[in-house]
Amino acid sequence: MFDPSIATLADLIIASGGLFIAFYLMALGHSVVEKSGILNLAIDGTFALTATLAFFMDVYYNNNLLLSFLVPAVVAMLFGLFMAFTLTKFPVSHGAVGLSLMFLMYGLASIIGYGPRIVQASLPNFSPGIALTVEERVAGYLVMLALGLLTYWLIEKTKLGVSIKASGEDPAAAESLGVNVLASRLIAAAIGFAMIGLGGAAYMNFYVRLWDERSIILSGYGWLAFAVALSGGRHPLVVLLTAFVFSILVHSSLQFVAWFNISRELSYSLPFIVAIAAMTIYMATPLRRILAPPRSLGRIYFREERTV
Amino acid sequence: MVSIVVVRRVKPIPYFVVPIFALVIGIVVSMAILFFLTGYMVWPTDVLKSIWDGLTHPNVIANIFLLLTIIGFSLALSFKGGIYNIGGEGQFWIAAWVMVYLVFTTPYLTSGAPLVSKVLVLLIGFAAGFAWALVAGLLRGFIGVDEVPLTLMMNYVAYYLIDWFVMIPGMPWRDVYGYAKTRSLPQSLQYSILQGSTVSVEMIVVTILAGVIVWLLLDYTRLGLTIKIHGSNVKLLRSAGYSVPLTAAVALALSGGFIGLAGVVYLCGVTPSIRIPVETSTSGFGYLGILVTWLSMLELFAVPIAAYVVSSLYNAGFTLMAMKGMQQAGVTAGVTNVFIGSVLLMYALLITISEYKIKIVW
Repeated sequence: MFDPSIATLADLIIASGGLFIAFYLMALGHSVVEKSGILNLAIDGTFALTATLAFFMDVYYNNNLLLSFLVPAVVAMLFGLFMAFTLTKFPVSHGAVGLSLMFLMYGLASIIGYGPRIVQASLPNFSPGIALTVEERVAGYLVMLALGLLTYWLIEKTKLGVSIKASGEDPAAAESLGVNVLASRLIAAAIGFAMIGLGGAAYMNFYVRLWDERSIILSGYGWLAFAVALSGGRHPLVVLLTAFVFSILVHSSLQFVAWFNISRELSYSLPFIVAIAAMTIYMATPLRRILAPPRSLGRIYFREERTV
Repeated sequence: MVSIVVVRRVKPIPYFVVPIFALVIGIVVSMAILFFLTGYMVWPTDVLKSIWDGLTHPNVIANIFLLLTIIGFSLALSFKGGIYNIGGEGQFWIAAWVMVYLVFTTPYLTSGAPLVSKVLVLLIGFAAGFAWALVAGLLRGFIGVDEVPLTLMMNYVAYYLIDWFVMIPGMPWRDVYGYAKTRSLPQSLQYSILQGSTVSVEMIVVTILAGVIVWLLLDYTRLGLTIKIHGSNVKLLRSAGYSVPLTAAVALALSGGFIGLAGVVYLCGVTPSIRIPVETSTSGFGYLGILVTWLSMLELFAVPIAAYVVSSLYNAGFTLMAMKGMQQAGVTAGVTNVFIGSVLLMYALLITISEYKIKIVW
């Protein structure tokens, strides 16, 4: 039975703290990448791969959290740099590169995750990551707020941020005004993908704390982070709100079964239905104008030499 | 200083060069990935042997080949219109589910001649796939929601809805022994396998019909022309007085309809019940179809060729799994995703060279 008391809601918010950190990091990173004009359809694959890498490091390096966050962030960053380079240097489709990287990363995650999963079964009383205390979850919310403010400052108040935004709005005009579009996109991709990698690692270490194909590769949570970023207009502070809503929704989806007497399977589909609704509301309302996407998002841009 | 110079070619290179290169380089990349990530347990020769096994044993891959051919035709229809339908998985399973639902709740559907029943369920599958894709099509066309994440997320919705439907207690489609699957389709709907093969006449006929209908639709109807113009010049379509949103919606919906046929054919011709959770038991035909369509360069005649190659790659994942064993090498069905990802990535990058020369200057 649903009990909408303050205490229940506070419990829910605190309990979903780990998921909020994961969603916010991924959505924030995705927003930074897309601000530079790169359409990032590799987000779900990046999520799957980095959560798997975190699991791999946890199992083989005895829950060394530094490695468990660092390795996924670096690997994600390398994929991001590859994506930014190819999409800016050559006339290739953002969608095609993103989707193919997504499939590739699903495959990599599948192969990488299987070994440590077998090893984990032989380790009694071992769980990857850490069980966050209430204080740590509250601190997590505050750290994410600080990160959101920092990213807002980076994008809106610094020369680098202006270059990244200019590359996303009109790369040709930006280039002619002296902006190095390639460098801007590489930096945005490095920062953004590292954040997505940290988000994947946070999901593993702070929230789900187990690996199987269904909860990582087939979960589609990377796509939910995509919807979180899109419905928040890729704005670092608005995305805080949408990440909060989605983390509560996903975390409580199993509780809906008890509260509203719906089936477990139906509760799993709710976050995706809400994500579709959020994307639709964003596109159908003035939000689309207020939190407008970069004008050159996903458009092919490269410098063609005509005289050689 | 080293710099990369991109120059447009005076004459594009033949279109078949890119998919062949993409396939070869993609397989080489996959071999390297599998070799290193499995701790040298999957040798390149193992990969080549597993692919070769598929290529040289048509009987083994025949069912997958026919299904992927239908999906390839279907996706080509929307891709030609510049509408990237990534929701084939959802359309495939929703069509299969609606058919199961109606078969077990509407007895007269299977009470007539088997041929009539088989045709009826195909029409039902088409309508179900069409309707499911139309939701995405309308949102894409009239509201402007990006169809790629939209159709992808609808796949998850479809998976979970079907998981739910299948397990509703007391329903006529529930497996009588309580297993997590539906009852098998009545014999009158199941396709009969040709002697000495693994396929049925019905599957072959539906595949050919799907290809012919898509071809006629695209090349000989006004609707096909508007879909193709939508893919190349939206402004022209608008200035000619056609509804751009409606064209996008119809292209996506038609694509979903034809994929729906594949869903029905799968249940009638390959496995007669739906197992859940669908998201873990699915073979991912909707995603494999994307690879087929891109490798065919959206040329309908090349779809079967691409489908044959992709079927071999798909089969190779399972052959490797059987050869090496999951526990020893960590080789799972996910290997197929490595093949898909590598070949698609190479295709996405190499498509550039069909129109541009890339020079490294220093």
